[in-house]
Amino acid sequence: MIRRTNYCIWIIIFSFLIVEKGEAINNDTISKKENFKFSRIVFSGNGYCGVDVHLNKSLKDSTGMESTSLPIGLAPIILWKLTPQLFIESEFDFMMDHGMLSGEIGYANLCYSTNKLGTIQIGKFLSPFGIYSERYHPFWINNAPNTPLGFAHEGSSPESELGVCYKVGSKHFTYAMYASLSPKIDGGSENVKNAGKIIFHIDLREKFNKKIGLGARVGILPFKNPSIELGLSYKWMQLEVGEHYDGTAVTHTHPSGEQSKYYIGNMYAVDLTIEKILARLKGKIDIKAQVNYTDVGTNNFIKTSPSGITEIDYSYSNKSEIGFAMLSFKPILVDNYILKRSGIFVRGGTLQLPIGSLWYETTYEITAGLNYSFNWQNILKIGYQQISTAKKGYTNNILLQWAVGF
Amino acid sequence: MGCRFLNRKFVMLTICFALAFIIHSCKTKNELIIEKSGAQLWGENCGRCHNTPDPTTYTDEKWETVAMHMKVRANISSKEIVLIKEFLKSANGD
Ligand code: HEC
Repeated sequence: MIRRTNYCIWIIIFSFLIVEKGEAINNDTISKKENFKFSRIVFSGNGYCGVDVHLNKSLKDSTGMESTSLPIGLAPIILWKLTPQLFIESEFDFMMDHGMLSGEIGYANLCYSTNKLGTIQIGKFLSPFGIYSERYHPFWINNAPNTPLGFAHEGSSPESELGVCYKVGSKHFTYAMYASLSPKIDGGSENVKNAGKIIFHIDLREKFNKKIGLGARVGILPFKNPSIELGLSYKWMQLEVGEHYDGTAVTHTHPSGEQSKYYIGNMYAVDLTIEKILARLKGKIDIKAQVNYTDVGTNNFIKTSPSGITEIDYSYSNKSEIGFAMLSFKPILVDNYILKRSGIFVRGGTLQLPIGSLWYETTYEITAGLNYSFNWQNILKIGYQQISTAKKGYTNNILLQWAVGF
Repeated sequence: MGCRFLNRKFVMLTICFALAFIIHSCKTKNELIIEKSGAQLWGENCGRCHNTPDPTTYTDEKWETVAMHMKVRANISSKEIVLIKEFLKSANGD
């Protein structure tokens, strides 16, 4: 029933869009006769390398992390405008951290864009849930030397989606709506402690959840110029439980007491972007913030011994919250060549995982530092980070990173 | 009965989305008359997420592609991206 109600609401929203004709342009320069042009292929990408020094050596966590790590990444991008309406964007991500090399398609999709009706993306696209994944994840864009808590690769926020996305924008409002494969719930097959976690990362090489989820983001730009944007995002998911660890089961019970095969998950996000030149301070202030709230209802966790005796049986409310707010300032209006390319940043963040789960954690971070832009896509950053966790106490890190776009 | 799982947050967000659409379709005529130049739009839009790229970064052909990429990524309106693209192509010396 919930499914039917949700679908109805989504049909209403989509019909609004069809009625809303988008932005018709009089001086439309599109000529349908144009041929494929190889000169319209752009090879770009980004890369980064850095050093993370964890100062509290005694606080090595249980995964056996080294006290110093050297994260490196490279992401070549191919863009091609095939015709005035058709466009391909694709990115391949290579990452190396703690000596482990991994690689995957970051995004690869075909866009069909018309002036009147907006853009449709089909394939793997960056998630428009909030702003971090789609707009600020490349390190040459992020003013800080690492990712906010919970937003890292395979973290607690959707990075990319596999499905269809419809986007349309105007001066004061932007809309993105998508239907994509839902994430999975970790059944605890690899680590029983993770049973109940949401796996946003879709790996097509493994058995993946084929159930569709729906999502949308509305961006509101209230002023004449786009210096302030407030975004509201919603995501509805049908989560399948992954394979279980021997003798364990994570089940979902609706408040009515019915057992269901799929968990229904709801996610909400609020984001804020402020980018303004302050003549009095001779610089540019930049504020970016996002808060995600995830609710997957009540989970039951049961662990039985090989002889069938129940060893652990408990329930918890699978709700989590992550968020960050970052303030940066660059004195771009001063005359000094070095100073105008320098900047400072402060970021606060939080990660609240479900109370009662085996993976429960409450973590806060504060990161502050300096950066220097050699050019618009080339930035060197140094920061000091303090992370406080309920379980492990404080960790202090020194972070150094150089990031380029090309 | 079937709606008992619908929580209040979901309903509120849906109302927000719907309101945004309604407000959007009630644009005043004045708003449509004020036109900004491509250069002004480039200055206002292209530095919001990253440092502003210089028009000389790409040739006309490549700006076609990159402008399309940014139109999709930043959800910039077709009207504005056409003006920005024309400005970038006129100022890159190509
Ligand atoms: C909403 C944020 C946002 C806005 C606004 C924005 N960009 Fe970008 N831009 C990005 C992101 C994110 C990337 C990195 C793309 C990637 O790595 O996938 C990027 C990359 C680029 C690149 C590198 C080549 C490429 O296409 O990846 C160029 C050039 C660029 N932007 C130009 C512009 C111009 C010109 C404008 C103004 C019309 C603009 N950007 C507005 C977010 C934005």
